[in-house]
Amino acid sequence: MEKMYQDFKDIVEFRLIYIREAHAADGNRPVEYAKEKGINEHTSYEDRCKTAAMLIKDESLTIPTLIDGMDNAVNEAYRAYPDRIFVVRSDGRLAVAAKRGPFGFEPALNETSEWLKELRKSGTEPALANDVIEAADKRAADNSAKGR
Amino acid sequence: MFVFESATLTRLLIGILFHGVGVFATSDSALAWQDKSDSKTQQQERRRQRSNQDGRQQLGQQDDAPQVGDVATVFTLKSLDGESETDIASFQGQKPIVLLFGSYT
Repeated sequence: MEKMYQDFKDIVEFRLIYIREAHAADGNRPVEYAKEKGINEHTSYEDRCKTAAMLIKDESLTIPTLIDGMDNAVNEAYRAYPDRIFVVRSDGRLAVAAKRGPFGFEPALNETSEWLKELRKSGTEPALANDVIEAADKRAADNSAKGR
Repeated sequence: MFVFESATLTRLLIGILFHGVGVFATSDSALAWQDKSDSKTQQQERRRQRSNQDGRQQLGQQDDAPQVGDVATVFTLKSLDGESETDIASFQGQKPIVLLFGSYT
């Protein structure tokens, strides 16, 4: 992740978006290191920032980091929990959209890497197929008809 | 004598066979079997219709997450240092952006 950022930050923006803990010590499915490090469900925005800072430090990350609000609005809009990757094209459409969770993360990371390499090589963003755009627009129209 | 016996035997066997089929065809197990195969066919048909309607959705995410091609929801969030904000709409027409969502755990 950090390496990808270093390799491509000159042509693409990167943002790490810190959301609610996936496996907090006091959560439903705690992981061992959450207990060791005392990482609980965030009780405040400051708490979330503190845990994010811990991650940045421990993993030596330099990717610009944003903190999701305690309303988890951005997390919910992107169905991001527990983790997820997206690539947004400069036209605002998604070029890469990971499947849910850890199983979706790795394949999407590879897909992102390929997309970035293609962008580097050709100098332009890989085009989206017309049928993909049409299907997306149809979904958007259906959703707005449903009032979502 | 032998030929007669053989023909009788054959008729007898055919009789038993047809009777057997007749019994089976009206038996509970045969009806259950028919029901099962019907519902399986119907299931397949339903599945086919569904995948025709939104094949792309079926192949992709099982949840209602944003998919490739969708217009990304714009948002503004504060940075970790609290000193700046990112409005992802500001990158439109400028640069692509990689969004990595996650937490420590």
